[in-house]
This record gives sequence, structure tokens and C-alpha cells, in this order.
Amino acid sequence: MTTQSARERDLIHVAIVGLLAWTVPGGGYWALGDRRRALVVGLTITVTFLMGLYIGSLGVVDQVGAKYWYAAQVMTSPAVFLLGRYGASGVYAVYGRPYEIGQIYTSIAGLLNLLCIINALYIAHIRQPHALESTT
Amino acid sequence: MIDLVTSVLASFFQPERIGTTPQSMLWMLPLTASVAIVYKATKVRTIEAKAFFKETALLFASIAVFMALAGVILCAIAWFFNEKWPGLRGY
Repeated sequence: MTTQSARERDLIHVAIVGLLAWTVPGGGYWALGDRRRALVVGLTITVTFLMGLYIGSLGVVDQVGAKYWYAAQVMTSPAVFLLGRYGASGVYAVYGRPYEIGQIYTSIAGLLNLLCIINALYIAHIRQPHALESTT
Repeated sequence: MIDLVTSVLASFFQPERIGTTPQSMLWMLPLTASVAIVYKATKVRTIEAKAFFKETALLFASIAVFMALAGVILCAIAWFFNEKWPGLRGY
């Protein structure tokens, strides 16, 4: 019973780390106490995403016309859902090279954050005292 | 100050002018730097400024060089099929 509740606590801890990592780029590492890594990752991903918006405007986050790109962009942070609403309004329509480059920047930022989410989850899992028990 | 903030915010609502020129390829460099930094940050055990910068710079250079090489090879293939291949086929 005690072991099971401890495992549940571990699972909740890992879930919180994953949620923080998605909410704020680098947040997962921050929660794990790795502040320097959190700052490096958070700043880099945020700047990359903002550069994408700067190059192509808000129109690059398009939840209607570019669903697959949007799925990658949303990995940056849940805040992208809000931007998607503005992008879908069609007011900030953008075409050509700025659209392509802006989409690539914002989507790569999202995919890099996905890599960091998975990495933070893995670190949180292996640091758990019950992690070894569950794998053996 | 307000003008500066307004112009910075306005730039996020208006796309930049980027033509279909060879110079537009340079936009890959900041993205390559981001990929190198984040990838290395997930790989190294501890982040020490000097060693981290060195490893990141090395990865950045490797990616940039291989992308440039891939571009040259693709250009050569396109040139061959556009310029030489029709001559060889007798067109």
C-alpha cells in the first residue's frame, strides 16, 4: 500500500515536471533544480519562436490552413493556442518566403521543446527512488 | 520609448520582406544555432560555459557545412539534368 502510494506520488511528480516543461520552455529542468540548463533551453526556444513570429507575423500560426505545422508549434507552449485564434482570423495573412521561414522557425521551436519535455520527463523518472523497482 | 515598444510590437503583425534570393538561405544560420544549442543542452551532463560553447560551435559548424554540401550536390544534380542530360539523350 505504502509502495503504491509512493509510486503514485512519483507519477504525479513526473507529470508535473512534464506539464511545467510544456507550459514554459525550460520549466521542466527548472523544476528538477537544473537552473542553468533551464535558462539556456528556455531562452533559446523562446527566441527562436519569437524570431519566427517576427519574420512571418502572427499569420504563421494558422490552426485551420496549416494543421500539421500548428501541431508542432503548439509544442512550444499552450499559449500558442491563443495565437492560433488570431492566426485563424485571416487578418494577418502572409504568403511566400516569410510564411515558409516563419513556419519553419516556430515549428522547429516547438519540436525542440518536445525534445526537452521528453528529456525532462526521463530525468524526472530515473531520479525517482522507485524507478529501478518498476523496471526490474 | 513608447514609439520603440510600438514599432517592435508592430513588427510581429507585419511580415518581413524576404525575396527568393540566395541570401535568403542565410536565414538557416540562426535556426541551426538554436538546434545546436538546445541539442547540446540536452546531451551534456553539466553546462560549463567554455566547454558548452566549444561543443555547440562544433555542432553548429558541422550542420552548416553538411547543409551547404547537400545544397551544392543538389545544385549539381539539377544542373546535370537540366543542362547535360537533354544533350546526352539527343534532344
